[in-house]
Amino acid sequence: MEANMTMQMKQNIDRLACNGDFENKRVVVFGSNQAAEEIVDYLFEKSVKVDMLVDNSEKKIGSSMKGIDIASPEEYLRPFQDNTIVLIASKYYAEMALQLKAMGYEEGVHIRKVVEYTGHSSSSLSDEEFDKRFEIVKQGEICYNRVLNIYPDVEKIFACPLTILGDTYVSVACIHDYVKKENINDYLILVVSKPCYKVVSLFGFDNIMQITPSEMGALVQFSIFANKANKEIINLHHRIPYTCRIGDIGNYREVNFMDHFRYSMFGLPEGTLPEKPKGFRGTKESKEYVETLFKDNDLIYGKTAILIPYANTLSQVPVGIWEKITERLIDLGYTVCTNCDGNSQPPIKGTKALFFDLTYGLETLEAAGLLIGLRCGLCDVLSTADCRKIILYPDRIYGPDTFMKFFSIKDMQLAEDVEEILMKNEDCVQWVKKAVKN
Amino acid sequence: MGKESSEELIEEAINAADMGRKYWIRLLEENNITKRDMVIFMVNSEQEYNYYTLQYLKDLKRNSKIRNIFVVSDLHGAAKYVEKYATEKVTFIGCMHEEVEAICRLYMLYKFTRQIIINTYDGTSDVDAGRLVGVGDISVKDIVAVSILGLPKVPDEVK
Repeated sequence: MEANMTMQMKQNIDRLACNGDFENKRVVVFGSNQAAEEIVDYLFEKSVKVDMLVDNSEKKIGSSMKGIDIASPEEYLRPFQDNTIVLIASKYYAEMALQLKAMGYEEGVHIRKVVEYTGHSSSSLSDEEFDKRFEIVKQGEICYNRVLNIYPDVEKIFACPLTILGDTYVSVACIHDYVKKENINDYLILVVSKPCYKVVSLFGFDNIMQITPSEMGALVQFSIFANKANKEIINLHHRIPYTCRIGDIGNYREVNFMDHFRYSMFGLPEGTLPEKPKGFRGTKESKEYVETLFKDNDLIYGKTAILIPYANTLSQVPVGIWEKITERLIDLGYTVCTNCDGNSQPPIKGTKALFFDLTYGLETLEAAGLLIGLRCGLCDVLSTADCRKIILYPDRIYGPDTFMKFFSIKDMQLAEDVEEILMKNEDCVQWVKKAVKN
Repeated sequence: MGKESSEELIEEAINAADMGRKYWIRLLEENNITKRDMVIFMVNSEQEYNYYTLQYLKDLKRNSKIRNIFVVSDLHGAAKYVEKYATEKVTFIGCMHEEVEAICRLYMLYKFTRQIIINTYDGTSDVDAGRLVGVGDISVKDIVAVSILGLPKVPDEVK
């Protein structure tokens, strides 16, 4: 979920907890998507046990997520039981609520919306709503004109609308091919955060501008309303804005995440490979950065393992598994580090907290020698580092197929030399052994 | 890129969106369209897209639990085309081109309803998922079924 939605979800759950709404209740989460995972995690933090996940997807019914079984709503929630609370964080809230109401559950009593997904969607045709939306477009126009004042000669603007590193990385990995194909000389890449700026820089772009997320939201809306989207402005996201329907075909007939960009968005010929960023390898700054980092943290070149256990967009792996991996690596003579901020993301027991600059991420990894990471956006960014890379994929569904199929770094052709391991609940120990066998 | 023309363009667009709001409300009222109904704008200039849109209506109805389907079009001969190829009972509504454009413009301002499906990418400034046709095994059938109509897969062939 986006950060603001996560915050909203937490506030709503806090409120329910304060009111004692979870006490002596069977707690059910409707949906087994990423938002549901975050809800489960947060409830776990608050010592609230989730009794069941319910989902309408036949593919998911009978499986489990984070150790919690997934059942069909009808199967688990019929007959009606008053001591039930069903949490929903879905854009299909209305439909889900309707389904639950048909079983006797009431909104505000048993059914609780924990995230408001209205976004661009509103059934209101009132003057007030209409004017509010128009105001957003006008703000977008102001932003557009501001950008053009600074870069008057740009022929094309590429807008990376989110702060998600992986989406940014993948979306810009074909820009050079695209501008070559379209014979575009002057263009600009817009980002909304400093880390995204750094990710784009890895590809050698220097025509980057950072704007605020609200400016970006307005600009994207302006682009579609003013009919500039896919013309002067290319919105680099498979689900943003709401008109963009290419996301729906993701993972269908092997359409992977990269395909959304290279084919659907940029119309590049089949077989076009994503660019491998050069980064800042070989520069004096890069060498100095890595030397200092390794010296300050007492790390050994070629014998340092960097763990990436935290992913904003994915399931978390139980800490115990990371601890087992760490023990094994230490036995093998590695110094083990956890890539984390040290505060909300504590280092795994037995490891050192290590926070490195994305600008020199590739060089840092290459000096370390080994990366073991839970699949997240940072894995995309570091995928081309010349070192051993083991990426762990949660066993979950994305659209009509598996998550791994859609986001596989190998299948996306970001890098060929990654070792990709699918994690299954029942054989955690096996994949730990597999991951660090040598 | 021209910023000088954008002010005029926006003014024109907002007027169109405002008209779209009126057309949409009239469309709902005149045809007794309720929240449980779906309105499909069959406005693609490529007939293949329109054909499969109509062919998959039965599955759309089955999948989305909608009550009635209304097909709106400004295309020449659309009424007969719908009658011939729709796999589900639908109500056809003929529309003027400017009405279709205005409602699309309103949709480009914000997603004012979830009851609408527009079977073209051009009309809504949308990324053209049709570019995937020919990549791997993807066909127009896939694009219509999954991207446009939101079905989980291409329905079995209609006999």
